[in-house]
Order: sequence, then C-alpha cells, then structure tokens
Amino acid sequence: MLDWLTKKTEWLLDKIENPQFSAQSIPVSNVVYLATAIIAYLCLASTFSLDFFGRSWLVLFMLAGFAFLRIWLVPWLLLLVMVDLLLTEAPTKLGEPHSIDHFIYAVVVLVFVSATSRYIVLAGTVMPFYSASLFGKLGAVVHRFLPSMRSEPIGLQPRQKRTFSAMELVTGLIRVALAVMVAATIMSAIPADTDTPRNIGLLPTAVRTVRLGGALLMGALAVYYVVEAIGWQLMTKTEARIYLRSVITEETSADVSRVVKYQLQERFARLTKK
Amino acid sequence: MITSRFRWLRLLGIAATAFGVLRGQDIVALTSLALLVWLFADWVMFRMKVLAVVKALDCERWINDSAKNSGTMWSQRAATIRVRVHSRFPIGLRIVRAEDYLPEILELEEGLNSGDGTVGGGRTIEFTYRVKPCTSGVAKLPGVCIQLFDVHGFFFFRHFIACEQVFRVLPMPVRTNTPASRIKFSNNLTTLGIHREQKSGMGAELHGLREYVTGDPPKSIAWKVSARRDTLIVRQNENEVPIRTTLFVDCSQNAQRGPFGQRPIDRNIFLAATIAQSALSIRDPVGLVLFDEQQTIKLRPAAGQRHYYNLLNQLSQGAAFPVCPPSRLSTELLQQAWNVASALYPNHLKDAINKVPFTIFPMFPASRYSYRKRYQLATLFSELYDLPADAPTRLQQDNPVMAKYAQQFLLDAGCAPSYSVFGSSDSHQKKMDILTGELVNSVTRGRDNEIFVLMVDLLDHREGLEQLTHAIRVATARHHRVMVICPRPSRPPETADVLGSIDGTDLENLVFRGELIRLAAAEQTIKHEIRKCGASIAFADDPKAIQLVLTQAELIRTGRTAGA
Repeated sequence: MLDWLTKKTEWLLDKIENPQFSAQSIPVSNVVYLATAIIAYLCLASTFSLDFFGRSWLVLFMLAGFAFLRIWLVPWLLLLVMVDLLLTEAPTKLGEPHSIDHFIYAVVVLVFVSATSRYIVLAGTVMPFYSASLFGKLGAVVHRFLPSMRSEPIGLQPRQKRTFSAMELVTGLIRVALAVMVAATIMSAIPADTDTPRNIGLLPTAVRTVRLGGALLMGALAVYYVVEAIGWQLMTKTEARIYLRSVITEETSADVSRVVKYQLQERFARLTKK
Repeated sequence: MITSRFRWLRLLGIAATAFGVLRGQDIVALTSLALLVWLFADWVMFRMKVLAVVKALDCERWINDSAKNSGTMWSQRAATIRVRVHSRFPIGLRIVRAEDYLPEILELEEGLNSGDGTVGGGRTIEFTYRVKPCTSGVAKLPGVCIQLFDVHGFFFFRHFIACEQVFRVLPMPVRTNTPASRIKFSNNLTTLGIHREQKSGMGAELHGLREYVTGDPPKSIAWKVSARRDTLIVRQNENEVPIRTTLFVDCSQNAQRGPFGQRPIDRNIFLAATIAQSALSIRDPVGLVLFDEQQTIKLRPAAGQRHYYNLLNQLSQGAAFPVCPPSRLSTELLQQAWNVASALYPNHLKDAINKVPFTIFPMFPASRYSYRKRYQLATLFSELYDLPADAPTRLQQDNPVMAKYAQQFLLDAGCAPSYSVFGSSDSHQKKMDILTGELVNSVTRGRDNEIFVLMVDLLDHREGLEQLTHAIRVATARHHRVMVICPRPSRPPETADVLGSIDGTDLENLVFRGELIRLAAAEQTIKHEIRKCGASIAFADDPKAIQLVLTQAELIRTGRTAGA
C-alpha cells in the first residue's frame, strides 16, 4: 500500500510541477472575475438585515449558485443588483434600509474573503479538491478498489477551462460563511439602540466611542488589505513561485511526511543491516 | 515589519482606549483612538512609499573603477569598491541604509561597506571602502541589502538589490631572489632556462673524458690527450636542458577545511604560485596538476608570462569549491544558512509569501521557531535549486539532504563550508589513487631533470602512503627529484602555551591535546617514510617553508644552494 502510495505521490508531484507558472502571466479576466464576483455578492449580502441566523441561508444559497456561474454572466448579475439597489422601492422587499452597519458588515466580508483567497487570483490555476484527488486518503482508497472510476483531475489545471474547482468552491464557501458569522457577531455586539447602554452598563458617550472605533477598525482593515493587495501585485516571479510552492506544501505535507518518514526508516534499516 | 517601539505604543493605545470606554473617560478614549489612527496612517504612508520606492531602486558598483560583471583581483592586495544606490522615484525616502554584501573571502580593509541617507527625488547614497581578499578563489558580490525606516522608528523594510559581480582572485606570490641571476657557478654561463645536467651531452662545459668507441663523432676526439695517452680519447660535455617543474596541488575536501586564508589549500596555492613565479622568472617550464577525489585539471609544462597567468587562474579556480563537501545538519549550520538567506532573500522568507503548514507540534516557542525557520529555508532551497514540489516536506524530514542543500547554499553565497567531524577515508584513498596515477604518468612522459612538487595533505589520513612512496620510488629511479609539501591543519600560534597550561579535566583541551599528539606522531612517520624513498619533505605552515622550498628547488636545479 505504501509503495503504491509512494509511486502515486511521485507521479502526482511530477504533475503538480508547473514550470510555466509566472506571476506576470496572471490572466486579467480572472482578476476582474473575482473582484466582480465579490462585489456583486457583497451588494447582495448588504441588502439583508443583520438577522444572520434568520436569513443567512439565502445568502449561502445564492453564493453557491453564483459560484457555478460563468464569467460572462457576472457583469449582468452585477448590473441587476445595482439596479435593484438604486430603485427606491426595491430594497424594502429584500430587507431593512441601508445603514453604516451594513456598510461595515460588507467591508468585513470583503476584506476577509479577499485576504484568504488571494492565491486564487495569483496562481491563475485551479486547485483540485484535496480528498477527491488520488493524493487524498479517500481518493487513494477509492482508486485502489475502483481503478476505473474517474476522479477529480489532479494537479494544477489552467483556469481558462474552469472557474472554480471543487476545492476552491468548498473552502471558499466555508470562508465566506465564517466571515458572515464573525461579522454578524461583531455587529450584534455593538449596541445600536438607546436602551442597550443601560442593559450592558455603558454610558452613551462610550457607546459612541465603540461605534466610532468599530467603524475606524473596519476602515483600517479595508485600507490594510488594499495596500497589501497592491504589494501583492508587485510580487516578483520568484516570490510568486515560492508562494505557490508553500501553498502546495500546505496541502500535501501530511502525506509526503508520511512517505518520507517511511523512506527514512527503510534507509536506516538498510544501513543497520550492513 | 514593525519595531518593538511600535508594538509598545500600539499596546498602550489599545489599553488606553479600552480603559476610556469602560471607565467612561471620553477624552482618554478619543485621544487613544487618535493615537491608533495616527499609527495606522503612518504605516499606510510608509508602506505606500516603500512600494513605490523599492520598485524603482537600483544600484551600481565599481570595483577598482570597473563596473564590469567580471574581472580579476589579487589576494592580499586591497581593492577599492564604490557603491551608489539610487531610485527613479521622484519622492525621496529619508532614512535608507544600504549595505554591500561581502563574501567571506573579502576582508574589510578601510572604510565601511554601508551607507545611509535619502534615496529618491534625485538623491543617492554613495559610499566607498577598501577590501582585501584573504586568499585566492572566486569573489562573488551578489548585491546590496537595503533597509528602509520611517522617521519615527516604527517600521522598517528589508530589500535586496541584485548587482552581481564575480571576480576571480589570483594568488599573489612572494617575490624571491632568483639564484640563477646573481650566482655564477661555472665559467660558461648558460642562457636563462637552460641548466647543466650532470650527464654527457652537447653542452659547452666539460663533463669528462673516456676512450673512443665506434660511432663517436670525430670532432669530440681530444687530440692532445689522445696523443699523450697513445689511444683515442673523446671529450664528453655536459648536457644542457631545461628543468621542468610540475606542481601537484591537492584541492580535495580535506585541504579546504577551515576559514578562508587559513585552509591548507590556501597555503598550497600560495606556495605553488611562489614556486611557479620563481621558476618562470628564470624561464624554467612549470606544469600544474590540480587533483581532488574525483578529477584532475592539468596544465602541461610551459614557460612565459601568458602561461603564468593561466596557471594562476587555474590555481584560483582550484580553490573555489568545485564539489560541495559533506556535512552534518547542525543548529549552527541552519542558523548560518538562515542569516545568509535573511540578508540575500528577505522577501522570500516573509510569512505571507513563504507559508508554513499548520501543525500542533512542536508546541514550545523556541522549537516552533526552529521548525518554521527550517520549513521556510526548505521552500527557498527548493525554488533556488529547482527541486520538485514535495521537496520542502522532504527537506524538513531528511537531515542529510537538508544539510547538503544548506551547505550548497552557503557555498554559493560565498561562505566557507562547514565539515562533518568524521572524515571519509574512502575519499582520501580515491585522492591518493588519482595522485599516484598522475605522478606515474608524468614520470612516464617526462624527460630528464624533472622536479615534481607534491603538495598533498597526508596528516589526516595515512591510507595510501605506501602507494605514494612506491610512485615516488618510480620517479627517483628515473633520476627525477621529488619534493613533498604537506600542509598542517591550521592551529593557534600559542600552541606551546596551551600545551603547557592544559587542564586535564577539560574535555575540549584533552581532545585538542590528543590531536596535537596524533599530528606529531603522524609527522614523524611521514617524514621517515618519504625520506626513506629519496624525496624531500617540508610542512607548509612553517613560516620558513617558502624559503625552504625555494632552497630545495635551487638545490635540485643547480646541485648547490645560494649560500654554498
């Protein structure tokens, strides 16, 4: 089993190698796609009220559907959302009127998603879902018993053919869900009505300071990630390759460690036999 | 990156804000918030300036007024280096420190290899300093390390500007008095490069008389002597031939141990250059054989200035680590590699770019720091040496492979290699096989009056000594002269004092003392064995070794010393 896994590992690692990779060769359409997708989603999400546990399933459902959309649909979707927001009657059917809290909420989601998904833009390639590939444990077992079964393509695939891989989709959904939960929790913790200060023991001026601090923090986070994103785009080719290598290592370190440890044990056993 | 000053100030701001909010102190809270806002704005300004300036940074370097990518330097001769850092960005960044990265082969002689000031907006940083190569080899100056600071000392940013210049460092020989130019041993002085051989030949000096045998040329008959003895006597003249010197220089891994300037190979190369210069100054042909455990580089004996520079060039290349020596992975090796990588590749070791897989263990901060450091180095090595994608994890687990790449990285960065405590006798045997093979080949191809100078390390491993003495006997049997110069491992000059004041309970001193005793015993054995087979031997770390070698060479060449 281990020998088979070793062979598969070597084969997989050969496939993972992508000598054509270059930071300068990032297709612009992907950047546009990702940015547009996030903005469109945030516009949609910000139209909902802060009652996260009541209506968030709608957001997740829309996001899941959105992820399967192709790039040529995104601008149209964005246009629809913008028209919807600009109409005076339209927001009432979607949720509460907009406020600074909604804006902060949107910024939190934006910075979180953009920070955790930077490599998607950078790589210009699609990462396969870990467990569905032959390299994962489940994939290895399935392939052993059902070798004819077609599995997820392995290695880094060009993004021109696909928008999201299964891995990116699942991890992206998890990240966004986490971001929404965190943002909703933060926002619900900030006292919003006049009765709340009495309930939590804060003076009204302190409430103002908290709200101001929260807004400043969110603004700072947004600026921080914008600045970092600019720095990210100035990355050299070698730095980009190192980043990609470290991302691959993160995904594969557990299994490679197991194989290397076994090989080292074998080597040590051979030496002691001599 | 942020400084500790910023960290403390940030902590103070957050604490004061929390205090102001909880205690209802609006003034304190808002003031602290303003402080935090100011810190953040300062960071944004610094970061944006850095992004703009760094991209436009450039540097130029002149070594002895030459901006070429390659050139020549001489060991122990100072060179002047001038560096200028400039930026095309119209706005200047006020506090910038630039430091020219120096390889270990270059020692700072005068001035500082760094400068600070403002870069951008038409302003440049320029500094000049002098360096002295401590030995021959290759000096690679990779570029300039840049550190940018903000005016308040809250942030700094490190960057490296590549500006590679590779200079070969030729050995600088000692100028010696050439005996042939001022000492006249015979009435008929031969031309330079021609020496009398104590055999009959077609020279001008009389070597002896003998009876005529059929086939002797009539003009060689000494008529007066023949008339006096009443039989035909022929005159035999001395033979006049050039004396060829072949230098065998040991470039093996054993000879490359130690810091630059104190390695056995440095002494070997210095001696070889001096002997070559001395011989070539009287137009004697000099050949060269550089050998290690795997290969040889040969230069056939020749004379002339061009051949001399070719020979020096080969010697400097022989000192430049053709093979990465084996090493054991140690904390010191990793730390050294990390320090060099931090200077040369600061951007590649950032956590945002060079990410480390999450693990629960190791848990302690020090162990976790080492773990992270090793992983980031492994990722860097895999990129630099174009290793497969699984290499970082493999290097993390496999100590020998990690040690190999760390060593290679340090060598490429111009650092002296570190060696494992345990040497390999197999490699020494291979080296001796190559040396004896080359010596026998040279004897086979050689003519008369050849001088073979073997500069080989015999003290650490004595395997193959019998093989070497056999080859020396072959050479001496063909009337060649052989001289062995054996470099000693570098040791401190106060050896005698240390021996006198050794504390028997100190393990390090005991090991040192044992090593000295072993070396002394090995010296006696080697001297005995080498002299027994008719060769001369000298040890290269003796201050008088050069004079000794030259005297021996002169003795071999002329049959007498300058003082005789």
